[in-house]
Amino acid sequence: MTSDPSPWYLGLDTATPWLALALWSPAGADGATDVVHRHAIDLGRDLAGALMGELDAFVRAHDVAPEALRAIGVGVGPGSFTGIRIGIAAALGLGRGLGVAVAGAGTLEALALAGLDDGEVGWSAIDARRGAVYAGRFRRIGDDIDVLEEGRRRPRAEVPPGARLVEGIAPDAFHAARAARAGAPLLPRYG
Amino acid sequence: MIVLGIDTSCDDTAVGIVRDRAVLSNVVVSQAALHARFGGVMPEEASREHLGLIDEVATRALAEAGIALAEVDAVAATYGPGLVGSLLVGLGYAKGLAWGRGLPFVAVHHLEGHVAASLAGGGLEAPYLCLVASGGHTVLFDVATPGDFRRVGGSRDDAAGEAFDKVARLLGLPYPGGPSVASLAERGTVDGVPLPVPMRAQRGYDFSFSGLKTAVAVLLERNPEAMIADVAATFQARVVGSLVDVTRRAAADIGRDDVVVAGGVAANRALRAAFDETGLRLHFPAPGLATDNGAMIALAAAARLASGRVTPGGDLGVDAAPYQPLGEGPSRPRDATATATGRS
Repeated sequence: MTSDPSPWYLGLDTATPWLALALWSPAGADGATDVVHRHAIDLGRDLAGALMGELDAFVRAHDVAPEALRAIGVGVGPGSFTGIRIGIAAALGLGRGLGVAVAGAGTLEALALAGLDDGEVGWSAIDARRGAVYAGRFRRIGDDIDVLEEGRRRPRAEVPPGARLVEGIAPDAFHAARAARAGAPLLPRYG
Repeated sequence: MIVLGIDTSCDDTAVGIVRDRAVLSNVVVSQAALHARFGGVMPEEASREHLGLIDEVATRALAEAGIALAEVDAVAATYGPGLVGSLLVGLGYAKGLAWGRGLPFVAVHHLEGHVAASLAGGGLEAPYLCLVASGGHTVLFDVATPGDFRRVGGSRDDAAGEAFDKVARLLGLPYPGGPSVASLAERGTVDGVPLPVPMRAQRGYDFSFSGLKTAVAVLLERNPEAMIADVAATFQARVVGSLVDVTRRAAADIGRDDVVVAGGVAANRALRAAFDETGLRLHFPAPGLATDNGAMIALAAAARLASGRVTPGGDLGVDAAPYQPLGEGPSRPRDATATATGRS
């Protein structure tokens, strides 16, 4: 593995059936360009067993030395309690092992980032069983996600029919990678 | 070799550090107070607590051992059996830690950890017979060669420690029931009340404690004036008698002179006294290692690493296995070759 001097931020989100990973190297003052790598795979119940293998392969495929990781961002849900705990536990271990901070990021915002276009307003939703969804309303501006209506568990009927809805796709773990760089606190709001 | 071991199989968040067979630190943060009001462990609460505690407990274990993370040679964690939500926290954290440091990761069966706790510091090698008796398990293994666990018997219903918990509740004693029943039993008379002897006529090596527990419930219902100290003493004598008699018979039949007694129930003084009268060579867990802890997982991993009984490439691909019997190996994801490899 070649050592890469540029700093990298790792994002991971396991609150949905998807394992979403992102590696981000921000544009530097030295003129280096902004680089983002993404990987998402629907692992379902294989998440706990496959997570580290997927992460290892992803990081190696992009020639990023683990020691180049400067912070870890992890999706804190809402979503599957088990999935959220698997992700946060792994992130805490990675953070301790690498000696870097662990930040938390909302999964509904990551989903909005994955589905909305720049400037677009819409809902993102994750199934919460028994006719309910975790859902919130967001606006995407560049790579930022503005919260217009806080994400929470609500009856599916509360999402207006015909509204722009992002659901069933992988969250964009770039959102968690950006939270890592921003040093967002790790607050397991859900699970 | 320095190994950091994690156990979060039930309601204790536990991290221990060992150097070969020596325990350097063993931090156990019990959630007993949290679960006491329910009279047993609430799985969702346990998992959430583990997540909030695991990093702090690991950090404390390193500090108490006087070891820097950079000095650790391998990381280990329990993969099963246990509560799945709890297992996943310790297992996930350990795998992240190992990958982050570029260290080998060893997935350890919880019961192999309990057995390793009784071998700590000593020079016992296989063959031996092993009784594991705890709140979650009551199993008898024959270990003919190192790491080769053959189940010869076990409880058909409640684990011995579970029976103590349930009877404690019937007697109005606090959770966990082992120490509280044992303490009350010291003031009571064995056979002061009539209670049945479990599985008296069997030829195999099994245990059964739920009938005994029901007998206690019926006795208390029919005779509310019964001296509860006598109930505790008689109940404890029945459990101890069953564990010792079956183990002694199995040792004689199989031809084992050494018996390892592991698990939280091994801390019971009446059990130790009864085993002392059998003439067997006994190996009890070292102080502080009887109940669930991280050092026992580290000890088991250190033994595996020392003897080469590890998976090539490590165990990063191992999933939590809540019902995994000992001796059948870790469960693996479907594509084991792609995910079992450690970091390169």
